[in-house]
Amino acid sequence: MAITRGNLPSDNIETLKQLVNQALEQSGRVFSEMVGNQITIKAPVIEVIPLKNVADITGGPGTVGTGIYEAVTGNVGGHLLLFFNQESAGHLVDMILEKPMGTTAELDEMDISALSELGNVTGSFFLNAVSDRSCMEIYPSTPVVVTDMIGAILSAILAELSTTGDSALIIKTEFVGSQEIMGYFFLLPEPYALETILERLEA
Amino acid sequence: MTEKAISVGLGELHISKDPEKVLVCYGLGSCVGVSFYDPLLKLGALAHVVLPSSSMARVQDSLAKFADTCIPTMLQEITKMGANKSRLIVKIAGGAQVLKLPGQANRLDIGGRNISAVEEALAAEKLVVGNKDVGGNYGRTMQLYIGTGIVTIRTVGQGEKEL
Repeated sequence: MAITRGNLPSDNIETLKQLVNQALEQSGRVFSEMVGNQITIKAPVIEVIPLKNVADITGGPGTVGTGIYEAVTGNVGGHLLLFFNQESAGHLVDMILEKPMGTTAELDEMDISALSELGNVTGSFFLNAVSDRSCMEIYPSTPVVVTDMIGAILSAILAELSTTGDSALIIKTEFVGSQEIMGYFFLLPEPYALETILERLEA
Repeated sequence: MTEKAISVGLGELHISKDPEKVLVCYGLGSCVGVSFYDPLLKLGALAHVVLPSSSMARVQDSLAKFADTCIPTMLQEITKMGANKSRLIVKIAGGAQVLKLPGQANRLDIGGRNISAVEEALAAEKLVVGNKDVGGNYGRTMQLYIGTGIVTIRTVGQGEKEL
């Protein structure tokens, strides 16, 4: 049975929350280390929402920002997306490359590769933590960094998910730092990925 | 500008003859925006197509979501409101590939398939595409001004232009 709104028991939500929390703690730590700044990753919100409302989370499909995307494959599949508003993406690059705050506006090749590495490290630590807890093999793809409207970035992912349903489970959190970093962490599992994870956790 | 923007979301179709309104598909990536406009009646429609074919989905929740069911539905709805098929100005935009994974070129290339499917469905209804702005690797916001029939495309970095 696919997870739809209303049929995800609260016990399962709790189990998932714990797992995601632990995993996010790991990736939050390396994220902070990499940008050399204390970044807090807020407690995740796990929700099942209609696909057409996913882009509203960041302020509507026309919201412009930089996304760091990784496809997730292995025992379970899905999509992982870090999304930062333009100002925050610039601040992150400044922190990683140790430039004065406010230097980076348009992203050049070096900036993109810095963000790509940030996504790589954050994503890998997150997935490793999930993988350890659930004894499954899960791999991230090479990250893709793109600056565009969030609706356009999510478009193909939502289209793919919409072949099997009209809603998706979203694990969403926010990055908050001393240097006005505002970002989102989306995890969109493929249908049935959740049942697989929950079965493994309970086994 | 006093126009009132109406957001046309994923898989939605809006029809209007209110000259104050502008129908908008925000952030089209792989999705395709399709506009029909009857200049005599100042009647317009905008659809946000997500997938090429209704046979791809297990759940058929919305006819406007799929190219093959959207176009006939759209034509039917707008002619029901008095539009004349021979007067319709048809424009399309979107169908980009924003996320391109190295080594997995086709996994997320729904955009290209969406464009072909929309064009086929339009041809099947003998509708000719006036102007189009499709493909590429960037997102587009498509707006249809009901009062004038003007269609604009907005992109990040290139600003807004008329289609």
